[in-house]
Parts: sequence; structure tokens; C-alpha cells
Amino acid sequence: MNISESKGVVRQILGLETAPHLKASMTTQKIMLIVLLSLIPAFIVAIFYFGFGVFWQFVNCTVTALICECFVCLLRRRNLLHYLSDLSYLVTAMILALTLPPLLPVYYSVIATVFAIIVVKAVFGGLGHNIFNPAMAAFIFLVISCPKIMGTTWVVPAPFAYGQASLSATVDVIYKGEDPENLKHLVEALNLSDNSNDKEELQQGQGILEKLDAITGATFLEKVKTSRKAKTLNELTEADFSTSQNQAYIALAIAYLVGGLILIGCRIILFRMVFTFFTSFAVLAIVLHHFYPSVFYTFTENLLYGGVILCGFYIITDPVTNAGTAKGRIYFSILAAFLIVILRAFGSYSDTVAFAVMLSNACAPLIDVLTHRRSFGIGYKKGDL
Amino acid sequence: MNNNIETVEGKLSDKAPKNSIVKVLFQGIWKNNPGLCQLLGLCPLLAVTSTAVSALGLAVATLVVLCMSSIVISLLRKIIYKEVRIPIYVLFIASLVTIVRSYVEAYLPDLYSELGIYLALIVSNCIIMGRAEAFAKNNNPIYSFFDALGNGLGFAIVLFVVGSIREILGQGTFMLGAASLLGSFGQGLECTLIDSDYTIMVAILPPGGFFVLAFLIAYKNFAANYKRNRLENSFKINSKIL
Repeated sequence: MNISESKGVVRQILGLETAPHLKASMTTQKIMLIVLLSLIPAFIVAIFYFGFGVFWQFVNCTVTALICECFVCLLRRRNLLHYLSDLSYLVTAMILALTLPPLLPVYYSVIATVFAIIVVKAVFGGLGHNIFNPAMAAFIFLVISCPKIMGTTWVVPAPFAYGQASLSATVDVIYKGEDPENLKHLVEALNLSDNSNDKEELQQGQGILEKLDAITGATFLEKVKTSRKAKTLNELTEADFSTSQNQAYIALAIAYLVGGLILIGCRIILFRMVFTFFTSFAVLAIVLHHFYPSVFYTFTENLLYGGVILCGFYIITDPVTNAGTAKGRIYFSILAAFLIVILRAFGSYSDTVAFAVMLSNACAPLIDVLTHRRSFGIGYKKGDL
Repeated sequence: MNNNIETVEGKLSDKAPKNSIVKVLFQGIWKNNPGLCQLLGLCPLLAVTSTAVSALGLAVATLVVLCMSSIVISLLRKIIYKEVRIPIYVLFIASLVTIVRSYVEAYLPDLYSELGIYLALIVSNCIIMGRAEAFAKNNNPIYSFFDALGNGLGFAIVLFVVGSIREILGQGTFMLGAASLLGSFGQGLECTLIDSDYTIMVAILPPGGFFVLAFLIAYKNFAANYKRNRLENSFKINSKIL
């Protein structure tokens, strides 16, 4: 692109903040690598509680993302190695792998990744120009496109799930198109017997499950949604976080926390953004639950189920799709937290985090404009910098 | 004194040089396509194209109304007062739409229920008004007819392509319900291309319409500017960052 053509674009990139610019030592490649590494604890925890399906989702998403990036690179006539060195597609693939249902057939994860890379990222102009977070947009694309398969391939977490949902067992479901029901039962049965090595108890547990007409297919949030419709939310017992099933969510939360702290330590994500997000989320959830217990669910369940913690550390802090100004980022976090709480109560899908993130991404340019920093030397107010 | 002023070379003629009829026809189909280039009539284009058959039905209805209204307006162009032309155009278009709508309601009730309000809304379709205002009011009936035909065909092609892509991706079927529109010939066209387990439902929802249309417009721009871009690119210095 020559300079006379790129007038508008350059202004747009540099125009967010006024003149003194410093060049940081962090490159995109380094940032993405650290983000990827910081997600590894969560990835291991996910494999421990959800089985190796998560691993295969990561493989699917990575391979597809790599192919799509190569394709885009060829179309744009860039240098392949330079284009692929930013590693952002790996982060997208990792977040997708952690958010998609673990037993989702390969067809759907490929479609989601193609959508994320081609439509959400490349069409808008590649990394740095995308309006929406690619992983969340792809997730919503799947939720809207095939709600049925998203519901049926979700696994109820259990400790040592990797034993049942082993590499070969998950291959059968994900690649060879076997019915996921069987494997889901096997994994859920691990919850019934505390000692998973005891074969007899395990089989007993499976026997119980087979006799049941239906088991909770979707997540806890789905249950909350149905009971809210039936106006029995008050009667719903609070989730017991000591059960092995719910341990998974706590473990995942801790893993994300560890990853998030690493990122804050490396100064990749802004502490004030994460802090504002969780504070406003807590305040809103507690206050609204206190006044309207029949509509809003409690803070702990709100926080631990679904992707709120992942969202707080990894999604809203995405440097491309959040607001560009210092003040704007804080407003952006508050908006995202507010939307999550509100959509949890009134939205028609239970995957509220993704929708809330998309909506706040759409608001980010407006927030930028509204919180434009004063240019140096003009509009001086007393007591102001 | 000689009052006869000789005609000067390059005198301004009151009529612009006319294109050939074929050129007028093809301009509407490709270069100046109402769906892909003028971006007119987007409301029906996005709303009715969830299946190929309903898209085709609306396309034919629009084509008929467009051709007739262009001829009528072109015939009457000299006696319509300039100041009140828009109401008069609307009057003609509305009466033509009423005729087409009654015909569809009488003979193709399935299609009528599928198209719903959009059939009546052809009145406010900006393609028809646009062609009347931009072309028919300045040109003779034959030219106007071919211009309307080209634009109508261009719009019909876009509608049909968008409808087909959305139906194939979203439902996995192609030309489902063609029997109600085309009779026994349409029956043979109905087929299932993708198993219902593998469809992407978002394609038949509103966002799908925008996605498909956006990709079609992108393709049109790419194909139309291909030669020029290639020539321009050949002058650029290939700057590959290593």
C-alpha cells in the first residue's frame, strides 16, 4: 500500500491516542506465545475433567486455522512465514477448543474455525482490524447454526474423565461419527463412584444411568433457564460445590486465574480491566440477586458456571477488539459485565458470555469516540493534567 | 446583415449519444446490477431469499412489474408534469402491483403465502422507482423496456443465487416447493444436496442473507476489476518483508 492510498488507515490506527508514542519491546508474536502458554494449565484441567475431546478440538481448530491463514496469506500475496509468525490463530484455536463442547464432531469445529479466521478476521482486514473477537463470533455462529448438536455433545465433567474419554474413544466420536451418548454416560458415571478405579461400582453407576429416562444434557445454566421460565427459580437448590462434578468448574476457574495472573505479571493484560470487570460483575450479580431472587441467580453460580472467568481474563482483554483508550477500556469492562448479568436473566440463549462480548465489541468504537483523550495543550481545565 | 449563423462543429446536441439496445440490456445484468452494484431493493433481497423458490417467485413478479411500469412511464413521459411525476409513477406502479398480486393470489396461493407482505411491497421497491426516474422518463419505450428487462433479470439472478446458496447451506435442499411454482417440471428439480445433520442453520436466518450477499458483492467487484487490478499490480514493487 502506498502512502497516498493509506491516508485514512494510518490515521485510524494512530488516531486513538495523541502524539507521544513509545515503542514497546513486546511484539505480537511474544504476546501471543505467552497467552498461549498461560492457557496450558486450563487446557490440562479441561482434559482431566472433560477427557481428550478437548485435545482433539484443539488439533482440529489449529489445523483448520493454519490452512485458512495460509489461504488468506496467498490471496493477499504476503510472505508466508512472516504472516504466520504472529501466532494469533493459535490463541483463537485454543480458546475455541476450550469453549466448544468436547465431543463436537470434526465437521462443526472446522466450520467454526473457518468462520473465525476467514469471515471474522481476514475479511475485516486481518489481525488488528477485526471488530469482533474471532473465537466468540465463531462460537455464536455454531450456537445459532446448530443448537441441537451443541447441546448433545456437551460432557458433564468428572474427575479422571481422561480415563474413559481416552484418545481412541474420543476419536471414534469426533472423527468416526459414533453416537456421543455412550461416552457421555461413561464419563458421567465417574461422578457416581468416588473411587473411579473400582470397576464394579463404575458398572453399577452406569446401570443406574441407563435406567434413567433423561440425564441433564446441557450445563447448569440451561437448568436455571428452564426453571426461570417455570418460575421455580427460588426452589432450585443452590449448586453444591463439593461434589466431584462441580469441582471441575472450580478447578477450571483456578486454572484460568493462574493463567490470568501470569498475563498480568507479564503486563500483557491490564489489571484495571480485569479488576473492573470482576468488581462490577460481583456488585451487579449480588445486588440484583438480593432484590430479584426469582430472576437473577446467585453470584457464585453466575461466576463459576459458564465462561465468565475465561471472559474476564482472556476475552475482554483482547487488545484488538476492546476499546482503545484507557478510560474506554474500563467502561468496556463494565459494559461486558453488565451485559452478562442481564443476558443471563433475560437472554434466550444460555451462552450469554459470547453474546455479551460480541455486543460490547460492537460498542467499542463508540466508546473510543466518547472517551477520546484531550489533545496535549488544548482544552485545559484547572486541576487536570 | 446575415442572421444565419453557421452551425459550429461540436455543437451541443440536446440528446446524449445513445447506447445500443444490447449494451443497455447487459449493463443492467452485470455492470450496473441493481442487487450487486446499485444496491437497490435490499429489503426484499434479504428477506425473501431464504429459499430459492420464493426468491424466484419474487424475482419474476418484480421483473414483470418493472418492465410494464417502465414502458407505461416511458410512453407517458411527455405528458407527465415534472412537478408531480413521483406521485404519478407511484400510482402506475401500485396499479400494476395490484394486478400481479391478485394474479399470484389467485393462481399460486402457496407462493402468495410464502412471499407475504413483500409482494405488495414491490410498490416501494426502489429498483422500479429508480429505473423510472433514471431511465424511463428520458428514453423511448423500446429502450426503457430493454433497460427494465436487463435490470429485472440482473435482480432476478442475484435473488435466485442468494436464495439457492442460503437454501442449500441452511436446509440442505434445492428448489424445495418448486412444484407449486413450475408444476410437474418443478417437481423434478426438487432435490436434497446436504444431509440435514450437516446444515448450517444460520444461512436461512437474517445474518445469512447479509453474509451471502456480502460475498457475492465482493466476488462481483473482484471479477469486474480483475484486469485493471492485475495491470496496476504489475507496476508495483513487490515488497516482501523477510
